[in-house]
Amino acid sequence: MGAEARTLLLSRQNPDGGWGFRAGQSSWLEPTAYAALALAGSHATRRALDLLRGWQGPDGAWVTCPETRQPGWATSLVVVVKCARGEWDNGWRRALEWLVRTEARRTGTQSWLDRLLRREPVNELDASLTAWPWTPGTAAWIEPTVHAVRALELSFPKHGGERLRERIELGRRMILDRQCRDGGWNYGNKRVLGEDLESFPECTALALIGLCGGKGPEVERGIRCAMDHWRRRPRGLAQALLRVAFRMHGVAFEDRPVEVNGRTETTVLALALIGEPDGAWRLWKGEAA
Amino acid sequence: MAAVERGSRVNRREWMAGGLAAAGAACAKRRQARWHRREPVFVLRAESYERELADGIRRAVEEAGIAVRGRRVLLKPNLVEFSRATAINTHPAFVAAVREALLKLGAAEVRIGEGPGHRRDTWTLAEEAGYFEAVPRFEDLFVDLNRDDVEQAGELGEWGPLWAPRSVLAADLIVSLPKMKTHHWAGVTLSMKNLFGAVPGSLYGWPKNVLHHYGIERSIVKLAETFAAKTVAIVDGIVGMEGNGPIQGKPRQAGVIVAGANLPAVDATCCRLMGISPERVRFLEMSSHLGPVDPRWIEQRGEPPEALRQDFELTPMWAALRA
Repeated sequence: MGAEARTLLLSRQNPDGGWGFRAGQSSWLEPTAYAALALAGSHATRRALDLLRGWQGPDGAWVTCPETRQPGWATSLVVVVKCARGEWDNGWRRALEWLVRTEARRTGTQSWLDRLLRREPVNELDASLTAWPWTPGTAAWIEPTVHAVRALELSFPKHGGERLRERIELGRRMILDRQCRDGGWNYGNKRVLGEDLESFPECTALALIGLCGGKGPEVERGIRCAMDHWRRRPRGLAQALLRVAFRMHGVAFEDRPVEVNGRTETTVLALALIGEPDGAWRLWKGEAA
Repeated sequence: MAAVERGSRVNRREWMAGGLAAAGAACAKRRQARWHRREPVFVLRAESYERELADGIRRAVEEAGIAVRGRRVLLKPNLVEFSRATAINTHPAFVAAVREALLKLGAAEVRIGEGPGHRRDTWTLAEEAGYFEAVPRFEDLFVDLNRDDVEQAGELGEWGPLWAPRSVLAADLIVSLPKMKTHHWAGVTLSMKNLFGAVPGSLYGWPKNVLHHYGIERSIVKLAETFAAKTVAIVDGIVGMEGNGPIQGKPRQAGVIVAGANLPAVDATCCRLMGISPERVRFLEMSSHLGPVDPRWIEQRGEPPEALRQDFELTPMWAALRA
C-alpha cells in the first residue's frame, strides 16, 4: 500500500509544487502540507516548500489558498514539515510567532444570572482555555489546536521560551477538557444543552496525536475509545488517522492497509503514507526531528 | 450527536444582540420591500421512499412551476452525520428520485454537492448514509463542496469576504433538498438553513464557526440572499425529525414533499406542516425581502398544509414557535 500511495501522491503534485484535495485541482495549503510531510525527505517536499515561500503573509501565517489570501490553520502543519526537515529559517520563526500570538475567542462562560437560576450551560467547556481556532477571531476547536500543539512542541527545542511552553500546556489542557464521556473526541463539544455528545473516530485520533507523549487516565481512556472505533473498521480519513495515533502512542493494533485509488482525497493518501510502519509519523511525533 | 455549532452563552448573547439588530434592520427593510407577489408552493402527500417517488417529484416540480429544461443543476442535499437510529440526512432514495425526475424534465446535467459541517470525510459519510448505493454513478456526480475551488460570492461583514464553491456558482440552478427538521439553534432547518453546506469547510473549518459568530440567523439570510436568485427547494418531509434536531432528534413520519421556487415561501409552508408559526421563526422574519411568509402571498398548490399538519415535538427552548 505504501508504494502505491507514494506513487499516487507524487503523480498528483501540481507543476507549481503544491497539491490539491484531488487530482487536477489547484494547490491548497492543507493537502500540500500533508503531502509534504508524507514525503518529508524528498525533492517533492522541497518543491512544495519553495511554493509556500510565496504564500506566507506579512503576519507570518501561510494562506489557505492564493485566491483568498486568508491565514490558514494548516500553517501549523507547514511548521511541522519545517521542523521535520530541520529548516529553522525565518519563515519557520515568523509562522511560529503567529501561532503563539493566535488565541481563540473566549467562549463558554456562564453569567451570574445563569448560575443563580442554575441553568444548564449551553455548552460545557472551560472558557479560559483559549486555544486555537479554525479562523482568527473565532472559537477554539480540537483539530486546529492539535496541529498547533504539535507544531509548537516540535519547535520548542530550537525556540524555547516560557510563552511557547504556556501555549503548549494550554493547548493540551484544552484537548483534555473537550474529551467526550465515551473517552473519545469530536470536533470539540462534549456536552451541549445537557446532552452528552458522541466522539468521532477521526477526531479521537487527532486528539491523541495532539496528546502524544502524554500519559495518564484520560489518555488511556482515549486510546481505549480509539480502539473501539478501530474495531468498527473505519475507512478513509478515520482509518488513516487512527493508524498514525496508534503508532505515535506505541499501541499494538491489527493493522489494515488504507484502500487508496485515483479518487482518494490527497490528505487521506498522505495520511495513509504517514501512518505506514516506516512513515513520517515518527517525524510528526518528533522522534527524528 | 447534536449539531453543536456554536460556542457559548457569551456567544448567544452576542448573537441575540446581533439578531435583534438584524431583525430591526429587516423590519425597516420590510417596510420598504414587503413581498407582494404570490409564490406557488406545491405540497404532495408521499408516505414512503419506495413507490413511484420520481414520478411524484416530477409532478411536484411541474406543479410548483420550477423550470429545469436545459439547465445545469446542482442538487444540495442535507448530509450531516450518519446514524441508523434516526433520520438526519436527506434520504438517498429521495436524492436519486429528484435526479431522475429532473433529467426526465429535460435538465442538461444534474450533479450533487454537499459540504458537511461536522464530519471531515465527506465521501465516507456519503457512503455510510447510503448515497453510493442509491444514486447510480454517485462517485462521478458528487462534488465535495468543502474542498472545491472557491470564488468570492459576497461579504460577511466584519468577517470579510464570503467564499463559495465554484460548483455552486457555476450551476444554472441549485436545488436545495433539505430534510424537514427542527433545529436547536434556529428553530427549524429547511431549504434556507441547508445552504450552510454551500460554504467551504476548507476555509471556514469544521464546524463553519464564522457563520455562528456572524450570527446563525444573519448567516441563513445572507446565504439565501446570495443564492436565492437561482435556488429552488424540494423538501424531504417523508420522514422528518422532531425534538432536539438537527441530529439528536427523533424521526417523524410526516409523509410530505414540498416544492417551490421561493425559499421563504417553501420554508413557511413547511413550518405550517410542522405545526410551527413561521411568523415566529426569526430567520423567516428577517427574510421578508426574499419571499413571503404571509399565507396570503403563498399560492398553496396540491394538498392544503392544514390538512397534513402534524405538530412536530419542540424542545422547551422553542416551545413558543408552536402555531
